[in-house]
Amino acid sequence: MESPSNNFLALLHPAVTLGFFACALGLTVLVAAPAFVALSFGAAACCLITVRGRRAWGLIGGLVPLVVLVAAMNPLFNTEGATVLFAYGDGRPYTAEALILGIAMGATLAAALLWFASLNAALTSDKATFLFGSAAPALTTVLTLVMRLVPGYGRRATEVFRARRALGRDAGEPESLAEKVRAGATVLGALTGWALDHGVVTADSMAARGFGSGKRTSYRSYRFTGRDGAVVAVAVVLLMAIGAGVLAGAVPLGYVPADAIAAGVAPSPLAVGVLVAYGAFLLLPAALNLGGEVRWRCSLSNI
Amino acid sequence: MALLAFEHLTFTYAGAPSPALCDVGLVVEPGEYVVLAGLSGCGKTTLLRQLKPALAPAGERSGRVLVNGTEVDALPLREQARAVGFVLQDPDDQIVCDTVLAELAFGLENIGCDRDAMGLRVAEAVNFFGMQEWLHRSTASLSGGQKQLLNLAAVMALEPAVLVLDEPTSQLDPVAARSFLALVRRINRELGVTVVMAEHHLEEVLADADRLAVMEGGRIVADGAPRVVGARLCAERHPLGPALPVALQACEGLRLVAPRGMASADLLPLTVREGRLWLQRQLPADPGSLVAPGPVPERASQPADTDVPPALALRDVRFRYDRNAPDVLRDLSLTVPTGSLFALVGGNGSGKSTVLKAACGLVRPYRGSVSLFGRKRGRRAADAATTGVALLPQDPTLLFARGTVGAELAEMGADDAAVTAMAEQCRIGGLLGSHPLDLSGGQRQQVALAKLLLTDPRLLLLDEPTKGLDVAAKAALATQLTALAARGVTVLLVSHDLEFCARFADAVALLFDGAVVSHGAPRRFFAGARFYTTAANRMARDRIPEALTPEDIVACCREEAAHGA
Repeated sequence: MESPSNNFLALLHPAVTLGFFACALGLTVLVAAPAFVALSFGAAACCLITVRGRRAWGLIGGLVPLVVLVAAMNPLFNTEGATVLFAYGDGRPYTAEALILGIAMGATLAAALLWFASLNAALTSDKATFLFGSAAPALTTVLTLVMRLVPGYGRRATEVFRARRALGRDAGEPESLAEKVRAGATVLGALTGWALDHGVVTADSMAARGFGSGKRTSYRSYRFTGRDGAVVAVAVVLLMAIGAGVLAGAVPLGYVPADAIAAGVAPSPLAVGVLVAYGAFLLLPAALNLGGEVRWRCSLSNI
Repeated sequence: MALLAFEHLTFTYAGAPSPALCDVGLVVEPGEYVVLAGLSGCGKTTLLRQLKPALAPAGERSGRVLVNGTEVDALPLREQARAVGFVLQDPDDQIVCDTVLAELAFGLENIGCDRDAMGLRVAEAVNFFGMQEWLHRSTASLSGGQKQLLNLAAVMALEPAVLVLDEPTSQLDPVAARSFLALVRRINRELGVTVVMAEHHLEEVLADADRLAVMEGGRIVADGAPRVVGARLCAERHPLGPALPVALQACEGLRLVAPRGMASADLLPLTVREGRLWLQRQLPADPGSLVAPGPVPERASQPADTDVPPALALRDVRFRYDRNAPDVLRDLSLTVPTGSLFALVGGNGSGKSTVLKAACGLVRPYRGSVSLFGRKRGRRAADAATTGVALLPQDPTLLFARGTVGAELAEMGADDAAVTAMAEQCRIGGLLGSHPLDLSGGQRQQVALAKLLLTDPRLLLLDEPTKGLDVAAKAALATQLTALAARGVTVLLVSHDLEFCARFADAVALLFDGAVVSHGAPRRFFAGARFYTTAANRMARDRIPEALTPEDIVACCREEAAHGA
């Protein structure tokens, strides 16, 4: 579990936290130019490292194969592009442009996942309840439950695999892909049954404590502090700069390989400016966390 | 006015042919502590759930359920949530939120409590239950005992007039169960909250309770002071008898065989302390002259020769789960003779379950050797069919992956005849068409055991097989395990249940801090222990050091009486 003391992001008002991550995710998905995607990935990784420390590397490392896979697969489905790297089968081309697009797609996906991981750590369920609890109490609680169940699902799957192995089912390496799929489907079925069974108990426990008996109140309250104001001001200025740059046409929103390569070779000064603003915006949480950490160290040395 | 009242309550589950509750009448006064006992399926849960319309099962109901004189269905939703606090059996599934603090506030948020009042209530609950240390922890990181304590605290934060608990300790280890029950007692004594608890392990709760109500087949068959009802159950040789406190069993057991000079019901011993005083009056003679009970009867198949290689031999085994974690097993050596019923006991974290995992190859020790039937386990983890080792995990539902019990058994590759035979052997013949998750805890365990037995194991590993079982299911399990051992199947079980191990095991070993600190036949093992032993032994140890069960105590007292006469 996170120790709250070195997650300074957690000190912000939940609305500010949510707003930031919504913008970060939106920008990551919208702006597909390779430099921007790379920047988003890097900033998301920095953010997660400052939030979760060493344990972040597990997820970051796990995403690299994902990027490679998506990149390698994309040219198999998308044969457009001028630079044919090689042809396979009966002359189906494998193009460099599609490969680059694949890398960008994979990196976008990975960056989005990293932002989600940070969001998950920063926006605890009580904060989510605070934000949405009065507007959509049922939805909020269900989402909270789902967030809590997903890791439980993974743990249970491991246990089921182990138990079945000790029983002599699904032992060793399955002979064929079909067998592997069948074994996986069996475990998935077992998990579904288990989840439904346990979900009934959770629902009972919620009903027994008056869930859905009327309007809910919220235990935690969050004050919008001066620090929140400052963060919002900086974020808005940077967002406006990015927006202006995009409107001025300095950054291609969609993906055109020729443009992207041209921008990479000879970037316009405006594009560089937008890139800097983009990076500054996305690095805000990491900077906040680092700044907080430094201040904490300093105050420690005064004690 | 009574706080709770069931009046002529009859309930039939939707689609069921016969009622689950028949004309139940029960009245609970404010401040009472009532224990509801009965075997699985007797209707305890069905009855308790009628107190909470949100939890009440679907079906046909007649009669009335009153809380404070008002019918529960007529109460406003929020009052229903507040007035009756309900704690369920499973510690994990009742938790909704991700942090302890959020979970404590959950109920108060639901009933629209304002923020200041909520802060006070949460603070009070935290102080009463001593939860300051783990207030900000994530709920997923708590132990089972802590989770159930959190469930209790979260319900108590709502300030209910009555606390209803449905077998709250059945999934906990004995240490956690005892501290949980001690808290329930405090809630009753210090806060005056009325408690109604369904429970089938009566050793610990009965001394705290004001009343014991017994259910059977959907009816209340006995209701009164614990000593009176307990004495009646013993006299009638009720199936619930073995669940009663040992002191009561011994005293009443002696009354049945030698009905003279016995105390009246209100002087019957209920706790180990009262039992010791009672025994001192029964056996005033000096201990030296007493006839010690014989050894626990050994089975004929007990292998006497040493030529047979042991089913499992661990030599100087060391293991840790993580590179930087401490060792879980520290130079552990253990030999389990072929054909024995071997019990491994010990506290939480002593490495019991890890021994089972090492035996079936789920974990590989980094030092030392694991031999099965005289052959060293190789580097590759082989499956049960080849090594003849099968593990029943603590949660039997881990083994379930199909829609019906029949399909579960067929999955093991057996033909129809073998499946039917095995189902009969495991007493689940009538359940082949049911969904495995619809069954009771004891039945689930039987289905899982049947699956294991279909692999025709030579070494059966059981992790806490008596957890959550009632006395009847435990006795049936014991019969089955003894029969297996007599057929030459070696059974290694890991358990917290000392009474079960003392009664049925051939050998017992105590695991502590990753190594075996004591082992031997049950008589010798428990006679050498001071307080890690059965309740009967704790009660009788300075008079009859080798007595392990109430039957031993009765036999000894009888012997003594015959001598004296």
